[in-house]
Formats: sequence, structure tokens, C-alpha cells
Amino acid sequence: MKKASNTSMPHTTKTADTLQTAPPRRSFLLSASSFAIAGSLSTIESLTKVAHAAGSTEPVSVGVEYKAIVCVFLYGGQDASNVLIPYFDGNAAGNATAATNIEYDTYASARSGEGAAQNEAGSVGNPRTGNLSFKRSSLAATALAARTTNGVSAVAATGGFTTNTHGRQFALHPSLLKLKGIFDAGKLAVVANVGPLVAPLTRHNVYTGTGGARPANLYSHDDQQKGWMSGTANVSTPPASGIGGRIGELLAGMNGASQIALQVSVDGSNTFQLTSGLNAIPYQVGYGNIGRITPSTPPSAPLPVGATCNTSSSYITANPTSAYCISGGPIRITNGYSFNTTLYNAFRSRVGGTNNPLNLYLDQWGDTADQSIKTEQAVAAALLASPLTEDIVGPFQPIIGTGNTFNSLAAQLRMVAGLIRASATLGPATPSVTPVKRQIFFVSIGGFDTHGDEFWDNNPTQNTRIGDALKAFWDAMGNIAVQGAAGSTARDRVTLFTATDFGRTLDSNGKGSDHGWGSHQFVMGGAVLGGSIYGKNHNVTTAELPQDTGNAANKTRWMKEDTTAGAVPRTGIPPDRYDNATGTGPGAKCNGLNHSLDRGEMLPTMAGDAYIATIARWFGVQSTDLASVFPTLATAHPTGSDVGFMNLTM
Amino acid sequence: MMVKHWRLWAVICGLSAVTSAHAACPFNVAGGTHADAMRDGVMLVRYANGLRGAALVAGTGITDFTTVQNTILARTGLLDINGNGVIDTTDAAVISRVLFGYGGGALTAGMSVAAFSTRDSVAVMNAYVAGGCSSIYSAEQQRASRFLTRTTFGASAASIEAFNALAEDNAVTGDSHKRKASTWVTAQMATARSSKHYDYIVTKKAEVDAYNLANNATTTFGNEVMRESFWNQAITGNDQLRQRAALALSEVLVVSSYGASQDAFELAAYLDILNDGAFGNFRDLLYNTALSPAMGRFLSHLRNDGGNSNPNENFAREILQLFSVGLVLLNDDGTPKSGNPPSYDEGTVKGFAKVFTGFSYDDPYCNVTDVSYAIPLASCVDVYNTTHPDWGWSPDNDDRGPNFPPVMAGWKRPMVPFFGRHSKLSKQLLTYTIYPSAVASCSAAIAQAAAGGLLPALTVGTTGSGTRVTTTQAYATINSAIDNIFCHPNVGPFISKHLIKLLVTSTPSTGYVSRVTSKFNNNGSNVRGDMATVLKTILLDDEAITPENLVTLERRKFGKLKAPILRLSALLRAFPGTPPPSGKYKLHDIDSLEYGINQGPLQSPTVFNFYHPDFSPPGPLKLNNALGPEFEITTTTSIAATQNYFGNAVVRDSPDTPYKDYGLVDVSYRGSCNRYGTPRVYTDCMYLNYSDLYLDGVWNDSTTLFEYINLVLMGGRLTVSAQDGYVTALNSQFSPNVTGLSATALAQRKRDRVKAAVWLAVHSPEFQIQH
Repeated sequence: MKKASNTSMPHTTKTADTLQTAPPRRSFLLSASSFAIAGSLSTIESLTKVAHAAGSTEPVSVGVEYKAIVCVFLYGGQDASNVLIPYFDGNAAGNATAATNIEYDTYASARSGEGAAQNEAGSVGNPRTGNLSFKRSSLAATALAARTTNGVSAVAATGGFTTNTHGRQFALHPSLLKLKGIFDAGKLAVVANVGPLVAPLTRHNVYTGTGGARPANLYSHDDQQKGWMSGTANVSTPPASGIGGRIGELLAGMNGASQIALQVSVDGSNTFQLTSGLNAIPYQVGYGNIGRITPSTPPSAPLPVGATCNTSSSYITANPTSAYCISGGPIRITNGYSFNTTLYNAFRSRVGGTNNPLNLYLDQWGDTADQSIKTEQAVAAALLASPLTEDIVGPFQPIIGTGNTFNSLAAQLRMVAGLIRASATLGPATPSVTPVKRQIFFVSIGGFDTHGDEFWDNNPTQNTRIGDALKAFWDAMGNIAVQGAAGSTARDRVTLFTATDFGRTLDSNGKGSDHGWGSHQFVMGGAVLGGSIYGKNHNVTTAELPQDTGNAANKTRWMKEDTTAGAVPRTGIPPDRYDNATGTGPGAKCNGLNHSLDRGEMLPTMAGDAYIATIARWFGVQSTDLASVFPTLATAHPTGSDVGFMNLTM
Repeated sequence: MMVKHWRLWAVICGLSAVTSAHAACPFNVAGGTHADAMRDGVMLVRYANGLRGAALVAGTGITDFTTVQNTILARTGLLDINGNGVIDTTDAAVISRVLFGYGGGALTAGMSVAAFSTRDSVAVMNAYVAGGCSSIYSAEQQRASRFLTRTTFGASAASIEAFNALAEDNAVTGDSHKRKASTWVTAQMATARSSKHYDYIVTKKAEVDAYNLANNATTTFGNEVMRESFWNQAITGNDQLRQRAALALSEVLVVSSYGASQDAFELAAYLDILNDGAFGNFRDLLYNTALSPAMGRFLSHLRNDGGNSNPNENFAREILQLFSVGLVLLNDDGTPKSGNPPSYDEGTVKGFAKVFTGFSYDDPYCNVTDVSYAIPLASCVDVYNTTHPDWGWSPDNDDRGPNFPPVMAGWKRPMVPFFGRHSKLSKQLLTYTIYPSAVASCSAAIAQAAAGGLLPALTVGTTGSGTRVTTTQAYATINSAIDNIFCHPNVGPFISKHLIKLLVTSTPSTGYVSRVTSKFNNNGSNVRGDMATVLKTILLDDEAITPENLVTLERRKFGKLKAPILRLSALLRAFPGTPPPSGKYKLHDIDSLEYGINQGPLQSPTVFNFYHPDFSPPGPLKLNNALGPEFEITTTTSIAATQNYFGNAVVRDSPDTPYKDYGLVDVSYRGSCNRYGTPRVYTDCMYLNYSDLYLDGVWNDSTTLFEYINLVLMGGRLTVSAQDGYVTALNSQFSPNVTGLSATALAQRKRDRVKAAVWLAVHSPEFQIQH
């Protein structure tokens, strides 16, 4: 369980004898007047805040060679079966009557439990039960636009891995409504049933222990997170580096002596950005708090002397025309005597670049403090040169929320948007400031480990947050220009993708779902060949099941009995798992579905490595470098590294 | 307070003599305040290699090479460590190692004894150099400080003195420090708990209820009150080792207020289980935590219904993976067995999922098993026609009408099995082979595991309620399963290594882990999992007690980044103020990344704890194959915020007495220590009391000031050259020369000097790291 239910701010309560006051926004001295050295603090504090403030009219753009990838990790294991839901069989008859919705019915049956199927999140009078399915009627609004009606995808098959949907229509989780527009516009793709693999496996392989190697420690949160993020699914010891870290080290030279590390995390340490060496160690930044300039100052006006960033919600509401600013995020070591040059330097000279003969931990801490100090200064300056404006902040403000409704993912992506916008001034500082060329960002959201009663609380809430945050990010990217590329926006230069520990069981445990394997992911960006579903869901294609050739009913059924492992009862599948005759055994409910293990854990049909490698190719990783960045890609995905959802020429 | 002042005066009175001993230190060839490796050590190495003149002193900050040369020449007899009549490279190397902090065998590691002349044994050389140069505080005081850093929530002058006043435990082999450490551990293990966390919650809840009643208010009561109790005991309790061990256990057997368990009562009760069991048996810890309501809610095996053919796997997976056995088979030294063989498979997880079914809160209504707890009712059928005890009952359940008021004691009662709710199916447990020298109490469990580990389906009748599993059967299943886990050979190395990392060093040697594992496996009296023995073995191991004896790279890997909680508590215990007038240590929500210290007790974001035990950050640690779990939450963002929190605590003050001279701890970033009302009210203020540092001879003597702070906050690990730099900066900024200052200016100067010195200390790498 990773970050389950930890998606809101720490809850606080008002107790009988406590007068709650507004929290100090930064840890500045609250009563500085008693210090001889403190006289200058108020001025310096103001400078700090102004350094994060808006007010400039600098052109808003990223460099001409700019590209960024944003990894959105969904900690806890997204319940993918409710992310992409069969909606309409749409077979040859094109008949949408309930009678033809065999696949939806199969889904509803597999997820059934005590109680009825659910309406959309939080519907009144809808008791939360162990039935994990949505009512079909609640899916109408998020049904994805049908690209074709005759079984041919709009996107040409590449390497055999572009899904042929056979005209079938799918719906997103009702809470993901905001993503439907981007999908329908062709800028968001769904990659179906993807997960850690070391070699392609059939269900027969899994049950009989045959075939290639399988990922180490399947179903373990920690190990599958590491497997996804490190691209070394078969390594059971902690990986030395992550995929982002290796890409970063490979491409760090492009950024030269950049003032900010190529990798930036708005979510602390993570395996994706872990590096072995020293040239791409991520900078970790906070998401900061948005305020408006006080005194109220229009975005186009020069900042008045002594302007500060007021982050109180009442001030923000009362001054809608004042420029946006951000406090926090990059945090400066500021307290007490740090503005006293002599004392500050006595501290500063002791961190960074030491080689303590007695102890490595002292050096490690010093190096971390050193990077914190150096980068904070650069980022603060860059945010001054390219401040957050209405264009960047505006899309996020209505959906950020506070307290228990706080959307941390949106706050993180807001900081990413701000740093992308500031990237033009964060490249090498000498001989003149130049733009950053490559950035890798990491953000996350938790709360997906929905084993128990939280299932029907967390899934709608967290998916709403994902939809809100991604849409706001998409809107913000549309407001950032690209140098030397008229008409283009940062949307074309930024590719965002999701990943999660694993999908979850289709089967209900009576309250929620347990750990699975394959899951469905989103990839979004101007260079994405979107509006399509890639990979294979629980589907059967004619190519896979030659015995179904000519059987129209079977060919077009998304979920059906998988006979690839032999006749029923199936060869190699222990009878105690699945007994077709009596419908008993742990797999009784789900073994009739393709790629489904006992309880509806989906056996991935695409390696997570191939999914991310496709994005890496677009990002600039050469085919000759793929083996070093994705060591198990060749065995896990022998049919090629390009899954086809990226426009590699962009 | 009087005792402490007496002690400090004793130090100060002895100061001049110690200082002259410094000046006389033969290794101090440059004439500074202290001998320093990077200055004096370097010069001696150069001298031994024949360099003279400017080349002798280049880059050391010293220009007068003539004086240095004359000094070295005049001290030839004292510097001739190996007694061969000249200052050679062997002498210079040994002296450099001494100045870097090495001792014991490390002083002469890699050297040929043939190079030694009259002082030709390691013991003789050690004895010779031991008389050399030290802090004004003795090596024994520094070692005591470091030991207390590992075993308590922070050292103080008083606790260091008390440690060194202990009698030596002659049953232990080792030096005086180690014998005293043994005495200390024994005494701590005999120290009773100050009070139960649960009882604190009961008291505070009654206060809030009374306040609400009197004021018609609706003040809520949340889990932050549990943290209040934690900090109260951590700062003021005498049972320091117990609490420290319980904190470590809370980072292995993780329960968090971020999750379903959000009630102050249940979390406090959980903390009590860990404290009560810290010196007990690990088997009991496993059993008691598994059945605790807090764990039941956190990992959702509470009300896990055995009637479901596929019950919830959450707790089943984590108790195996994180709390006991781990994913791969281990050697006794904590390393994975060759080829990383998995400890279990999915079938085992599904088997344990069935084990942990059928348990829920212990409903007191109509309870027939415990009459002292039972609440009788006229009818044991409530308005909903539900028979009690009720599977759906919860201690805070208030939706069953006035006949069923909440029963908070339910939070500290173990979960109980309910008739007919436990899975009757067969359950696959862990399998392992019979291993040598297992304790007798594990014989049955090992035999069962070796025979395939399958618990057969439970035998039930064929008609009516007879077809349902009884509570007796459920208890039998749980006990078999806990024994099956507890007796797995991985548990010893798994738990031992965890605790070593949390208490002593992030990168323990395999030998260290092996030594602790062997005591876990058998404490010498045929008891497995005896935590008192395990802890004592960890704390008294020579790797912990005398890291000076480790050779170069092993020495550099010894130690760890102190968790943020422990750095804050170290400050609060080194400079203890009087308790807040309200008696409440309201460090409620300080785990904020941006405003706090990014950590709080029982506030891990996930069951994987705040950091992974095998995390190695890129940089010096990873390059040297060393681990640094705590660095996972010490990022470029949090490091600044956390330092700001500490800096704030150290220097922040109130314009009003009594806190002006002291550091005012921001009890939570919500500022509940803010003064308010007229007259000012400071009900919840916590502050750092620097009265020791304001003594004449301390505040105005920078070396003494830093030596004191170095001793209590850094275990004496601040190097002489670093301290010299601080002294220079402090004197330059806030001169100790106060001639002509007004009384007001003088008071301000004292404050500035004291607070600036502590500020520099808490921003030193040596404050963050224990080694």
C-alpha cells in the first residue's frame, strides 16, 4: 500500500484552548525586532518573495529545441478495469441495444459483488457496496468518440501493436470526463494492458511455469513501482537507477552547464529519476503556494517597491486583477542568521564538495544542501525572469481545492508548468543565458490501493483529480509559445504519461479490489497520435485466435473465453483454479476472460518498457542507446521498441 | 537546575588547565587553538617527506614556516610515535589518523610492525597517542554523548554526566565505556513506563468534552493528540530506551494516521503495544500488532470476511513482506541467498489472506467472554434487530441509538474472531526446511512448514450453525500462522538488520548483522525473538561501541543520517525548557514538507515507512556502495524547510519575557504558541533553555561555547578546524569584547552570541549525522 488515502493535507482540528492563527507562510522569524541583525530581514524577505513574483512582460516561450517528459505516477495501483470500460460492442450490426453489450455485461459480471452497480461518484442514495462495476447508463458521458465503425483503426498499425478495436467503443471512468475532450481531439491516447514484463507470457506460461522469466515479486507495491520506474522488472534487489535517471544521464550533455538539473521532481525522491552517477541528480522542488502581489498590481505593471506575495485566499479573491506569484516551491535556507553574511558563510563553506576522510554521510548531507542552495537561487531568478501569469496559473486555480479537497497533483503540475515556462532562462548562464533543451519531470498522486471500504470513495475522487489536473496542465501548455516556431505551443514539446504499480483484480474481495498486474495508461501531448487505444485490452483478435476466424461473434467480443491454453478443462491450468464445468475455484469468475489470471489480474500484453521507450525515442534517445536505457526491452518486447503512439518526427 | 549548574561550573573551573593541555599537545605544531588534521597533520606528513620552507605550509593558512619547523624539531621526541628516533612517514600517518578521529587498530592498519621501533605494538602506540590532544571534554564524555544519541531522544549535559557516573558492568568484556553502557541498558530495561499513551488520550478527551459541554462548543478531537503524548514522553520520560526502541519498531511494523486508522485512541493504543512490548518477545509483537484495531483498519483485515472465497490480501502481503520475512531468502548475515530465491509465492499470500479473516472490534455489548468489559443490556437485540456482539460494531459507533453509546476502550482491545466469519478453507502458509539449532518452541511450526505448510480446511458440521467456523478454530489458525511466520529463518536477520539501521548505522557489516541474528535466534536461554537481548546486542556490539577501530572505508560507512524527529528531539532534550504551562507538547502537524520537518510519529505516508531500508542516494554514499535510508526524505526541498524549522526553533523568540533569551519552538506551523490575549498567554509555548550557555565564561568564550554545544548536539564530532571557523565567524560578527556596551546592548550581545552559535551548530553536517 503506497500513499493510500494520503492525498489530503494533514487534517487539523481546533481544540478547546487553542487560538488558531494563520500559518506563517514561510519559516521566517516572526518577531525579528529583538535581534541586532534582524533589522534587515523584512527587506530581504520582501526581496525573496518578489523574486518569485510576477510583473514582467518577458516573452513567454520555451527554447527552439525544447522537449520535456512528465511522469505522473499513480501510487497504490490504479484500478484500471474501471478506467477503460467496455461500453458498446458495436459489431457489424452497429446496434447499441443492451442485448449486444456482451462485453459490458462480462465486465459487470466479473466485478459483481454484494449490491448493485454504481452510479457516478457520490450519487445520493447509492450505497457503496462490494459491487465494483459502474452502471452502463452512467458511462454515456465519457464514452470515447468512435474513430471508426468498420473495425479499422484510424491509426495505421505499427509493429502489430496498434489496437484494432473492431469498432468497439469504450468509456472512461465517469470521473475522467475532462480527458474525453483531449482524447477526442486526438492528443490523448490510452495504452491498454501494459505492465512490467521480462518476456512475453501467455496465461499457459504463467500457470505452468513455462516460457521466459517473469518480473520479480509480482503484486508487491514496492517492487512493481520499482520495476515500472527502473525498467528492470526482473531485478529483486533495489535498482541502481531509474529509466528517467538513465535518460537524463544520457542527454545531460544537451543542457550543458545548465543552472537546473535536467531532472526535476515535484514529489521528492523516486525510483524513476534515480541516477547511478552524478550528472543528472534530480532537483526536488515543492509545489509552492499561489498568491497575488500586494499591493494589488496588474500583470503588466512594474512591481512596486516592497511588493510581497500574499497567499491568503481572501486576498486572492479580493484582488482578481493583481498579478499571480508563487511562494515556496524552491525553498531557501533563510532563518535566523542566514542573512548575516559572516555567519551564513561560516555555514555555507561547510557544505558541498567536501571529502571527509572519516564519514561519507557528512558529505552526502553536505552535497544535498549544496544543490538545494545553488538551484534555489537559479530557479528563483528564473521565475523572476519568466513569472507565473494568469495563463499558467488560471487553469489550475479553480480545481486546486483546499483541505480535504486539495488536489496535490494539480499543484505539482502547476509548478511543472511554471518551470517549463521559466526554462528559457535556466540553461547555461555563460557566456549568455540560453534555454534548457531537455527536462524530465516527476509528479505523483496516491490513494489507489483500494482494498477495502475506501474503494468507492477514493476511485471517483482520485480520478477526478487526475482529470482536472491533466486538463489544467494541457490548457497551461497551450499558453506557452515555442521560440522560432510560430503557431506552435509547448503542448507540442511536452509529453505527459501515467504509470502505476499495477492494475487490480477485476474480482471484488467483498469491499474493494486487490493487487493485479497489467493496467491502462494515458499519454498526452501534441506529438501523441491520440484518439486511439493502443495495445490490447482483454481482447481477442483474429490474429490471435485463428480458430475464431469466420466466427463473427467471437471475433468482435472483447472479453471471451481464452482457449489458447487448450480445451476446457484447459491443459496446464490446474483444475483447482478453474473448473469450467462447475464454475468453481478461485478463477471461476475471471478465467473466462482473455489475459486474465485467477482473480482478474490482467497478464500484460505490452511491456512497460516498450511504452516508455516509445516516448524516449521521441525525446531523443537514439535506437542504439535503447539497450542501455532499457536493459530488458529486447526480451520483453521482441517485436520492436516503437509501440506507435508517438509522432517521432515532431 | 542546580545540579546542572554545579556541573557546568566544574567544567568551567577546570577549563584553563585543560586549555593549557591543548597548547601543550605535541601534535599542535602550528600553534593554533587545537591540533587539526588538515593543518598540523598535513604539515607533519610533508615534514616527514622532507619538505621544508614555504612548501611545508602551503595551503594551510600558515605562513611562518620557520616557527613550525622549529616547533617540530623541538618536539621530535614527542612526535616520534614509533620510537625510532626520527619523525618519519609512519609517525606522520599515525598522527594524521589520530587527528581525523581514528583509534584502536585503525591507527596502524596497513602498516608494517617492522616500521615500529621501541613502541612496537598497537596497544603501546594507542596508549601513547591517547595522551595526546582532545577536546576540553573527555573522550569518555563524547562517547557517552554518542551512545545516548543512539539510545535516547537526545543527549544532554545531565544525561552524559549521569552515564559516566554509572558503575561498570563487570560481566561484560570491554572497556570502561562499554561496561557502563551495559549498566545503562540494564537499568533502562528495568525502568517502568511513565504512563500509557492511551490514558493521556482518555484524560484529554474528558477535558475537551467538559469544555464543549460548558461552552456549548463543538471542538473536535483528532489524532494529533496522540502525537502530543508521544512528544511529551519522548522529551520528558525516563524510559528513553524503551521509547526509542518503540519508535524504531513503529518504522518496521508501520501503522500511520494517514490511512484508515485516524483515531487518537487507537493510534495511542498501538504505540502502547510497541512500548509495552519493546523488551518482550517478537512473537508477541507480531501477534499483538496483527490483532490491534489500528493495524486492522490500516491494512484492512478488520472485518475481512472469510465467507468470501478471495478475501482481502492487504495485511497478508505486508506482514510477510515488511514485518517479518521479506521477499527473498536471507543468510543470517542479512544478505540474500544466492540467486535471490523468493521466500514465498502468491499462493502463500492468498493463504494468509484467508488466515486473517473473521476478526473485528471486541464489541462489549452482551459480551459473554469478559464480564469486566461486558455491557449488559436488557435485551441483546438492538433496535436494528442485530444480535450482539455485532460484527459491524465499532468503538466510536454512535448510530445505534442511545442504548449503544461509543465505548472508547474498544480501541485498545485486540480484535476478536466472530463466529462463522473465519474462512474454513485450507490455507497455504510459508514453507521452509528444518534448520539446525532451532529453539524447541519452534519445533512444531518448523515441522509443519517442512511438511508443505498447508493448514487443512477446518472441520465443521454439516447442518445449521454447525457448518460455521468457531472462534476457537479462528484463534487456533491465527496462532499457527503467527508461529509459522515467527519461526521462519529469515525473521532473525530481517528484524535484526532493520533495527541496527534504525538505531546505529545505515550500512552495518555482515558480521554485525550475524552477531545480532544469532541472539535473535537464541538468546542463550533457548528463547527466540527475545527483544531485550536483541537490543542489548545491537547497542553493545563493538562496531557500535568502538567504530574507531574500523578500517578506512568501513569507518566512512559507519553511521547514519538522524531522522528528523530525532534531530528535533535532540534539540529539545539538550536545552530542555520547562514544560509548556498547559502541559501539552503540541508538536501536532510538523510533518509538513514545506513548513515542518517532513516527518512525524506514526505519520508515514505508506506502510513502506518514511524511507526504504535499502535506499542509497546518488552521491558519495552510492558511489561507495553505502546505504542512506533517511536521505530518501532529505531532498533539496525538504532539507531547506527542515533546516529552517530548526533554525527557527533555535533563534525565534518572543519580545516578552520569559522567552526572550531562549529559542521558541514553533509547536506546529499553525502557530499555537503565538502569544495572544491581554495579558499575554503562553499556554502551549515550548522553548529551548540556553541558561547553561549564558553563564559567564561560556557565552563570552567562543571555544567553550562551541565545545559545549559540540558535546551535547554533535557528540564531539565537530572537527577542530570547523570549530575554529565558527569561532572566527562568531567573534567577527558578535565580538566577545563588550567594553562600553550599555546594559541593553550587552543583553542583546549575549543573545546574539548564544543563538548564533546554536544556529551554526544545527546547520552543521555533524548535527544531522551520527557516527
